[in-house]
Amino acid sequence: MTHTLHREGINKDSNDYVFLAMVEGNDPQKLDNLAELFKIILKHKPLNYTGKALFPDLPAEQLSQIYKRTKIGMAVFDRREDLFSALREIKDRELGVSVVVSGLFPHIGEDCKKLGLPMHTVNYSLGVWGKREKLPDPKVTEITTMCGHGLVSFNLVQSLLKEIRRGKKTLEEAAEILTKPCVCGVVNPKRAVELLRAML
Amino acid sequence: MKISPDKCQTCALCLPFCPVGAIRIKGKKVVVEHEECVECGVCARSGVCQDGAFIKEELPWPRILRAEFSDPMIPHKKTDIAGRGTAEMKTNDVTGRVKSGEVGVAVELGRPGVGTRFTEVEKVSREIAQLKIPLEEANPVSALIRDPEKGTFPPEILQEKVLSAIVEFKIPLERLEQVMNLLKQLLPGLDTVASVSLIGCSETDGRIPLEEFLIKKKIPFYPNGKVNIGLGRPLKP
Repeated sequence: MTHTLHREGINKDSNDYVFLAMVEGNDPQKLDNLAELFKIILKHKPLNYTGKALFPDLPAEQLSQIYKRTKIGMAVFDRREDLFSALREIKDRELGVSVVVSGLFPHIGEDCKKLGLPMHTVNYSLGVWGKREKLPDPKVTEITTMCGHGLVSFNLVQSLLKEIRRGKKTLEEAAEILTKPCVCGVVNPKRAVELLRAML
Repeated sequence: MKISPDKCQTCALCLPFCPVGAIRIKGKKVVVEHEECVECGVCARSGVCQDGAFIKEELPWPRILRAEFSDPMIPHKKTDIAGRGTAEMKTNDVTGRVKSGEVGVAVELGRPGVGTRFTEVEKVSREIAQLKIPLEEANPVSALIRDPEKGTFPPEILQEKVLSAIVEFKIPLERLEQVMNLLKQLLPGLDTVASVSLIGCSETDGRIPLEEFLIKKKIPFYPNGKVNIGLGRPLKP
């Protein structure tokens, strides 16, 4: 389905943990709670989050008001323990907002158990079917599938690789550019650096 | 999207940003191929054009569908949800959309990064309709269906191209094998890719019957995925 499900190439060394919270309907109390929830998330220093690309300098207080309007927000962490701490705080606050975590199933299972939470509903990816010959090198799609809406183009990855090889951009600069098209803020820039490095 | 020929300095720096490769050089001009552009807005938002040459056009029906299905900044009218317009399992702890014993199925045509026309989406929706399986109501693809018994769209939308669109439905677990067999036959014949996903609930003892089914039937699935961790409960009084 959507956002972060079909991330390709995830393994135990990927350091890639994605958080999503969403309110169904327009209950004003729950929307306030969504804003509260994101203050907690931002406090735990995600690498990237919804709104970062569009409003890089907006303080957490104002960003959380944006989530109230969009009724959804996302964030990506490279440290599982940071996401775990955020989840524990959110659970303790009993905010009543739906939360979805993306990552390796064994990791999520372990963390849910420690938090005393169920794996209520699970979404499995069966991968890409159909005309796979239309796809580039799988290393490229490991980067581009970090944006579930497909806004990071295959060509942008290839183009940035050329610039890195020519010494015109660093790996970090290229990764930063790759995070920008994804308005949900779920492209993991540290993972992008490692994937680009592996393609040089 | 259009490029102003007066403002464009033909630097071509914008070309790689387009997710579907619709920005091209024609002669000595950089142009957006109207038929290929999915109106996702990435080019204009990227800030790569220092000359302000991108022009966002007013999009009439049915071209507006391109933006609704490709630009996550634009919510779908039917569901009031941006992106691909469906909440699917994200709020399943509140909505109970997929229940114990059921499987949610999503076939996302065009993903990753290839795009699709509604001709290909209709090939899937027609086959699902043949099986007498209703499509998920709270999904913008379902809202476009003109004849639910046949799974067909209005003819004027068929050539519209979008980054992706999700055919979404739910079935009893017992029907999953039948649906999987259909998809195995159908999807290789489409002129695009499709990302396929399934949703299942855990039982009170922690078992997930859908996962057990996939393992038993040797249907491969990614080691990573999405889990709704059940925090979306009613507020405390």
